[in-house]
Amino acid sequence: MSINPLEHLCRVWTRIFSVEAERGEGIYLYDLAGHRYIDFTCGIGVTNTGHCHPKVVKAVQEQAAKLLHGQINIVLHQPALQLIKELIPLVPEGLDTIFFSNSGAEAVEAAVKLSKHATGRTNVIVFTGGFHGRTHLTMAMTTSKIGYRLHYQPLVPGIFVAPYPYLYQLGMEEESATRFCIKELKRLLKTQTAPNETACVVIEPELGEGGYIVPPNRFLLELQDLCREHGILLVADEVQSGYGRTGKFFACEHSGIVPDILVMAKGMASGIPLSGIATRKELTTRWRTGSHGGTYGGNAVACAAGVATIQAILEEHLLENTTQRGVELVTGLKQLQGQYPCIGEVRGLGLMIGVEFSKPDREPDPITAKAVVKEGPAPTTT
Amino acid sequence: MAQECPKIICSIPGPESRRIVAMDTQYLATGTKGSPVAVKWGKGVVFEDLDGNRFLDFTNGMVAGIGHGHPRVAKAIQEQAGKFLFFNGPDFYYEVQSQVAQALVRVTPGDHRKKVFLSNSGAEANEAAIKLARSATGRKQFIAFLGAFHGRTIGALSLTASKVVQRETFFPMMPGVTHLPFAYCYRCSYKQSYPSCDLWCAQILEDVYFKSVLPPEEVAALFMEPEQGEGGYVVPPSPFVQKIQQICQKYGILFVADEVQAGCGKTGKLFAIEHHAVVPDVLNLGKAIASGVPMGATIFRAELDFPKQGRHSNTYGGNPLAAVACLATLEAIQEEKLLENCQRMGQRFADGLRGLQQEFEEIGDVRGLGLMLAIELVEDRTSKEPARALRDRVIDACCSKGLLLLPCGMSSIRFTPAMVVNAEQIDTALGILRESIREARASA
Ligand SMILES: Cc1ncc(COP(=O)(O)O)c(C=O)c1O
Ligand SMILES: Cc1ncc(COP(=O)(O)O)c(C=O)c1O
Repeated sequence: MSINPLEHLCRVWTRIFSVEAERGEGIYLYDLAGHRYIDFTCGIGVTNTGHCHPKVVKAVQEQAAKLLHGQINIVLHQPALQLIKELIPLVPEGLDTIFFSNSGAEAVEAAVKLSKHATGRTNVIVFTGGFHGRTHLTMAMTTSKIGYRLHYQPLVPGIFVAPYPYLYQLGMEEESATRFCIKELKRLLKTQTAPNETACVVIEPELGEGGYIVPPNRFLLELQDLCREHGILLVADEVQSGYGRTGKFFACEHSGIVPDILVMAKGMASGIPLSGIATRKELTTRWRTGSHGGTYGGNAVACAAGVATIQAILEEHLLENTTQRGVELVTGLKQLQGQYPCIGEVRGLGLMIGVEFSKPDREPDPITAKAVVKEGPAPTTT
Repeated sequence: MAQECPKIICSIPGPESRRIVAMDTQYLATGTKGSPVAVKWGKGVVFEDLDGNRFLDFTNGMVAGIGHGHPRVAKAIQEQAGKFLFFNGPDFYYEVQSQVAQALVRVTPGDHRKKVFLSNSGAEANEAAIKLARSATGRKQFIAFLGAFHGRTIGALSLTASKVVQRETFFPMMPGVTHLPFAYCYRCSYKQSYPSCDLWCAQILEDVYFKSVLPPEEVAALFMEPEQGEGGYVVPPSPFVQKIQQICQKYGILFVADEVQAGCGKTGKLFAIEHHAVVPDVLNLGKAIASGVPMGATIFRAELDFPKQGRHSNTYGGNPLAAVACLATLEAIQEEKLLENCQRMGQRFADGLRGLQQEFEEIGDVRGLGLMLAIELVEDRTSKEPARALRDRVIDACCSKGLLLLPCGMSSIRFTPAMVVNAEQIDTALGILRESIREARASA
């Protein structure tokens, strides 16, 4: 009996295109027939160093031959230690302690669990449009689409939602949006979750799934002040915005905020599952040893790929390239916006750029957006 | 009580009662009603239905603890109604509200300083205890027992574990409740026997639960009925209660005694927890506390009090009618020496039930304290298979002969006559029960 694997592939995954990729190289993907496609998705912000970066590939191959897995509760290994050495100078000043896991959702879970232990408080504040993952806790924190939580209720309690400064849809300028959102957050702390019950505020410094929305720097700075005032930990979910995507190693650097916990994943190992959090040692002294962990966190091959990824980003000046190419892309998109009124806004940092399709009254126009995506992917000439 | 009772003049329900049952079925939400009995008046443990049948009421002592239509209570209510029915007790002051709190503080176990939160039902008393425990300890988790009934609001329902029908379709519950098997020795969850079990059902809390699933330093309170009510009138061995309390004390967990059903004298002591020589941190009352006027009370160590105004409150808590009814009830219990009567009559009744147990193989267990007694019916004494159908037939047969009873647990019948019951009434009830069991087993 011959098995048609497509019929056995779980339908819970959306399948946007029918392309079957055979290999990738730099910004290109090649299908079985050898057609070449330009990949502007990077597998949702994962292959930031390009597909199959030779340094990463080599590191993976070499590590695979030495040690595939050395469970981190049981043994130490160089790839994990080396990765920590590379990471510490890159995370915002003051963050000096690293924990590894495998996916973005897991790293967000770790951040919230740490916050609970470190503060002795139970509640979490998140923002409208946020995406933090698909496990039960992170689902409860995710408010970017109803489909992520439909029929999965009840979710984890103790999650409260504040408005994200989505200027375009609020119809506000930076200053008024900042004032509005900070006021609403303060109201939340007065009416729904008392500061002494609030362990942390989790924010994406550039909103990802929710629409590539850049908040005003002022907002992030005031948010940081408010958190400090109340002893609430500030968690930056940089799963999508981190690792060079915005032209800085972490998007937090654009505003200068220093979160208490920084969450990273996606780009960390150029495609091998690896995630983690960076935080302050002082907080982790209150995270009881043994109260969190995981089998694969800090996997040797993933960490080796992680080290090579950082080296590639630094040695090949990929941050500078991201900034320069980002400016070109935005300029081009803005020209298109001049020609096509259905493009309501062009926005984003570095190469984390979004185009919002909308009607003249700024009502979202998903039909046009979907039609544009469906036009592709067109193979380019090889 | 010179009136002849029971006196059955037509088959039950008679035409008038049937009319009320039909109207009730049409207009009232589906609840828990069983026997088709519609009351016209009640006095002591006797009541008459709308068709002139006269019954012995061995159920309502749960609430009308000192009997139907007690003159002291009736008078107190009438007088108070002539003065003021309501005066926003949560926001302002009046004497009977403070008096009732003082009285409750005085009669409840323990010489420590106490305070009272007044509400309108047992469920509300338990809700107040949940909130008080979280507020006072800063902890979030709770422990309760299988078989427990603590009420039907979501917080109280989350503690409740006596019948699945009470919870189904109402999830999600309040999170944070861990249920433990109760010391229901007749059906030990661990298949052991007391006392050779060495109270494993208490020790397991510390040795297993606290080490594997429930960090004790996160537990705010443990709720226990000193005699389980809805769960089957189950009396735990006192050493069990004491050991549980010691564990609570060791870990700073509040011990809450839910005396909504067992309190106010019907176990022969004013509070059932006194039988176990344990002083709870919080004691909850409801049902009989105001002889039928809705009232709930949460009596607690003063230092647990809410630290801020407004953290908890309600509209009717300590309302004047409930307050005077409660004061009159407590007075009646004391002045009419009802505890003594309850002990004597309880003894007589329990002896009678044990006599029946000799006679009927189907009575697997006889248990209870004072006048809060139950028999558990089983298919046979070895398998202990619950005999539900038989139990229901016995209750129906008793009803048709003028003895009103209620079920509880899986296959138990509870007996809660008011504390004013006399020897003749007890003996009559035993006679009817005997006849009804005979009939019910024959009609199987
Ligand atoms: C900001 C953010 N957080 C968390 C996640 C979840 O990551 P993962 O899919 O690896 O669990 C994502 C994924 O899209 C994300 O964009
Ligand atoms: C032990 C116990 N607690 C609480 C309750 C709930 O009381 P209420 O029905 O007044 O809410 C009951 C009622 O049966 C009870 O028996």
